[in-house]
Amino acid sequence: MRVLLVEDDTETRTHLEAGLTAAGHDVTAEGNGDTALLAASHSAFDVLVVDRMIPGVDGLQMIRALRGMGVTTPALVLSALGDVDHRVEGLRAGSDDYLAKPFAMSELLARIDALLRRANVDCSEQELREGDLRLSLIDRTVFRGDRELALQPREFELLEYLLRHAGQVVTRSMLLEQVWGLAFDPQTNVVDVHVSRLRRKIDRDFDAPLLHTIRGRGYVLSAER
Amino acid sequence: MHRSCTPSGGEAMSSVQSAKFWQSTSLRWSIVLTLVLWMLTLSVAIGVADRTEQALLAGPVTAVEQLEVEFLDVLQSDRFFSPELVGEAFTGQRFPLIARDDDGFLTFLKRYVAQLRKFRTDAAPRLAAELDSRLWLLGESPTLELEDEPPEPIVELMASEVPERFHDALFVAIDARLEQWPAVGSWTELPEDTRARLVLERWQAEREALTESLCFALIDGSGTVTASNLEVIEEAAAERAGFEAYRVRLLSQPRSSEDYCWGRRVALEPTGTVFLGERVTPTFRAVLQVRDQLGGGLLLTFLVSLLVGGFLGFRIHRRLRNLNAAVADVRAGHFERRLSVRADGDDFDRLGHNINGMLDQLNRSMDGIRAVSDNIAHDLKTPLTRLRHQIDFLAQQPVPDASSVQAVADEADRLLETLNALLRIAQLEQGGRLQTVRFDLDVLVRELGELYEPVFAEQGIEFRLLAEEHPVWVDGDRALWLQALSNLIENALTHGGGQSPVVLRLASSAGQTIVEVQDAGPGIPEHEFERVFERFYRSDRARSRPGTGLGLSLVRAVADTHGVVIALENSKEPPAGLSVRLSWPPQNPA
Repeated sequence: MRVLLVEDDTETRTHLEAGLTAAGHDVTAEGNGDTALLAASHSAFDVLVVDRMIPGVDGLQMIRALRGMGVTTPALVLSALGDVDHRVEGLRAGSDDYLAKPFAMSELLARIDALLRRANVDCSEQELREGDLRLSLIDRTVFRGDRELALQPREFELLEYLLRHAGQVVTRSMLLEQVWGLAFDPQTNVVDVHVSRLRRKIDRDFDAPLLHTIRGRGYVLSAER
Repeated sequence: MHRSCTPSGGEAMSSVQSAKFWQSTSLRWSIVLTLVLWMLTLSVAIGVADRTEQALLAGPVTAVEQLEVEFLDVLQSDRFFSPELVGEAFTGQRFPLIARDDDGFLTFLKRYVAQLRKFRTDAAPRLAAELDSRLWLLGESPTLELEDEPPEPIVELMASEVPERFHDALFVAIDARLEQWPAVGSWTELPEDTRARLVLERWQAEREALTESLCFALIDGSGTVTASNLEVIEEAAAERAGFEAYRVRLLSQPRSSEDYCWGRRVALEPTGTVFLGERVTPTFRAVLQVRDQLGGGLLLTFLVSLLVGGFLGFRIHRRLRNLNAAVADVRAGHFERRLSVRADGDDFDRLGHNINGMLDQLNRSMDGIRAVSDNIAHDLKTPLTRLRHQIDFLAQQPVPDASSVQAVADEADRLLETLNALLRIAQLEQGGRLQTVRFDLDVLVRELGELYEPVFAEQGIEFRLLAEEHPVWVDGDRALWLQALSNLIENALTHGGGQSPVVLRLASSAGQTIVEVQDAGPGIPEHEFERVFERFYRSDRARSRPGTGLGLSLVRAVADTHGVVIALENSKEPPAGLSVRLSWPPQNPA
């Protein structure tokens, strides 16, 4: 995937560029808001990773300008300003995700994957599937094989999010943000507990586990492991 | 002060001292301003004095001119009475009125003449002369020998003795008689200086009786003063051309203070002059003197005000310079420097006192910040050291195993988390922006309950959620409250000693809203109640358990920003444990 990386700090840029390249992305790196805006408006990228405070037009202005030009390429804002209000401001400017510095490379990669997937999501889908797991968005039921699973509303949402990103690593903070609407990481293992509850319901009585823990990174829902 | 060891401070001092008083713009401006004001005052005062002088002179000028006209008139007239000419006969005798109401003039005249004759027979010689004059004027004594014309006072006396209805007839009779006066030319034949002297003497007598202010001097051809009612002290400046002025002492008032006469000379034929003048009022003199002194007085005022202003300015300058020097010193880093302040303080002392207070406050704040940063540095050093050890350990491994690498990553993540928490607290304490909305606290508490219930269940701790059955609206930053309340729940989870139950309670009634998290753990000693809110403070019991020591600091920061009161209590009620209670201020209904 072609990624436009806009970051003015050389060391961070090199590090991110290496990480993204290693993950198989085709990276164009820019250190300045003006040149980045030019690049983003002229060539087609799959995702933009933009630092908020950069020389030239700042990150949010750049995204606002691109949205004004009708460029809908998903954008992820990186910022040292990690507060909730900054996050809201970032999302209002037209970015699709907001990641506060410092962050783990794995977190960034997972979020980029999610953004790329989201760009392809068909919102009119009526059913999500992975292996023999079926989740009906119409009557909000879940079947594994021909057995119906009884899920709590929140468990249903958790599963829906995992299914929408099936095969991708989903981090804990992504789940907290998307499923519970929490912008912070609790000290306790709340996410793990909820995921293991869900796992008990969808995997315990079946031979092939679908929900996998990737140590240090997050979870993957996949039939291919 | 150790000026020598701080070059920057020394520079600051020298730059302060080089601003000399006389170089100060304010001084130059005040001199220019004083000068302008002085000139303005001078011109206004001179203008006022001139106008006053003209107004005051108008009176004396007219008076002197009239005096002169009158004098010349009398001098040239053909009738003038003087005792010197007529004798001392006329002292103003009164005769009873002898007219009856139905009398005609002739009848009255007969009776009047008879009366005069009757008085004449046994009158003293002085009175006899007066009576003769009357009789002569009435034509009754054609042979009467008179050296001179009977004087005007006799006519006036007669007028007073004759009823008013006969005055016209009387004056016709008298005038007819005077026509025949043989010695009419004798007055005008007198030398002019003699006539002048006589007129002046008579005027003096008359006017002194009326306390009028006549000044005169008769000077003969050789310049000798032959008659005068004054003694000249010195000549003064006359304010108008053709006039003369003298400082004098009036002879009639030898003991009075000096006077001032203002008038002019009339030349006499053939020689000699007369000085005729008016005594002018003290006010007039005062004004003239004020005008004369005005320039000098104002110059003196100017110099005095310059001196006083300069002195005051210099004092202020000196005190400001000291103030400046002290502040410059502080700026150069000597935070212990204080201004010298007198207790009986003027405004400068009060300013100095306030600056000292401000510096004290700043020092205290800086000490506080220093203490906090020392704490932070210390508390971050521990995990960083740990991280360093783990990396060293990894470096010694030929093939690092995944779990060791993960441990290092986890340690780094914890550090980042701690830093984020610190930043968030700092932002809140500095009054960071809030995303304030009106939200349902009941929903929020239920969401948190749902989030944490499985965690409690997993650890075998009973979790009770006591929420309201109705919405509880509060204004605030929802995301911050989510985090603050989850911090409290997690505290109960980690420090509650694994005892059941943990209660999350929301109660709202009559405008009072509280959220309480209570555990069944050992609680914390009361003397630690305040300290647990400090950054990185961890009670001895909590030290062994995971946590950053920032959870409650954040809760306190969030509560403070929202005006919510936070109270700790070691509850005696079951479940006996620590209770953290948040009380919202009463809110206006939506």
